[in-house]
Amino acid sequence: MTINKAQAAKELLKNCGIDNPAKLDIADLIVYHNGIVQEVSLENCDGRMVMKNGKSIVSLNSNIEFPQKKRFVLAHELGHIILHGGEEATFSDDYATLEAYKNGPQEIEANEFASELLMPEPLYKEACFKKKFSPDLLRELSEKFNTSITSTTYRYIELGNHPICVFYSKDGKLIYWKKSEEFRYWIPDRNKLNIPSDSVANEFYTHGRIYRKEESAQEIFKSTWFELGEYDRDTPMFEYCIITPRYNTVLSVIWEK
Amino acid sequence: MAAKKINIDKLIDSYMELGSANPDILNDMLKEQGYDPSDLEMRGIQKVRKLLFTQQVALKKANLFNLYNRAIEMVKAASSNSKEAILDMLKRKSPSLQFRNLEKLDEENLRQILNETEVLELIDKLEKGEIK
Repeated sequence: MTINKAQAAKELLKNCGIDNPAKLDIADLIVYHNGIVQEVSLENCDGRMVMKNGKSIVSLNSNIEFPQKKRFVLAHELGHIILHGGEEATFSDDYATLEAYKNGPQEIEANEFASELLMPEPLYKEACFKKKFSPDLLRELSEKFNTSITSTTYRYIELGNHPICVFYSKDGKLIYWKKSEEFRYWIPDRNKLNIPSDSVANEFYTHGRIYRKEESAQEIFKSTWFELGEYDRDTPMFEYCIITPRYNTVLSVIWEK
Repeated sequence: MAAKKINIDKLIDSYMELGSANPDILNDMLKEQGYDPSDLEMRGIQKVRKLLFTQQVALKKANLFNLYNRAIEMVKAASSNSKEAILDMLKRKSPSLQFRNLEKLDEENLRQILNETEVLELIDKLEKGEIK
């Protein structure tokens, strides 16, 4: 049976009488589903869920720096409990399973559940309404929903009102990209290859450069990340890099005015 | 003053009687005062749900953590040393367990999972009264 992950999150919020998930302690929701949350130092993952006989132990990596990231990890594990629990299960989640790419349907479902739980669609759309896209808007949304800037950006791709495209790279190699439906530029097949040498992400990998908040929207050219068609002009675009030094990863957010 | 209080009580009682006999009257009164009855009802239901949720969490938290702490005390460190032995023990203990990413984990992580599986088994037995 296919479980609608977003619907499951909506139902949960409704049944628990929660109208503002930003103030919600996700650990309480896990307890509500017969789970125990423990914060421990984990070497190779951010979160882990072990389930048996309808009860579970969720371990959260105490080395995670940001509380918003911890909330997302817990919401992701709660997604596994609700969507994939059954009688016995174990899930071990790291940067790859939590980053919403190519990791099997269960990880994608747990991420979709977590996104809807922390950033409900109607509230998110309302928060974006008539607002111009910028890194500041992502920061504003992240603060409003008490979510990490990364998960807020992925949510913007689905629900935002300005087309954007993101490229996720690790150790200088492109791993994954995702774009809004209305973002219509041609993306060359670069997966597992080096990121463009004139990209802002490359400045981090080669020179360790991280731009200050007020300079975070850096101008690039369309040809930096996209293939130009015969009649395309190489117009300016912007790149904003969300850097996670702990994993040596960069999420490049690309948009045009 | 006492007489006035009795009158107010009577007034409330008669409103209640009137309202239970015909709920539309109450709705009309609320609308006259600028309230949306369906919105009030929805907010009321949400409030009750939230209170029930909070109560359930408090009860479960106390119970679960009590069982958890007792189980933790009972669990002894796994005697096996090698990663393969721990993986093997995990698979034997829980043959129907869905294993994801386990091969990638180091020995310490696997030992923790084994302990957590044992804790959950003990919690189940403690809850059923099979052990004390």
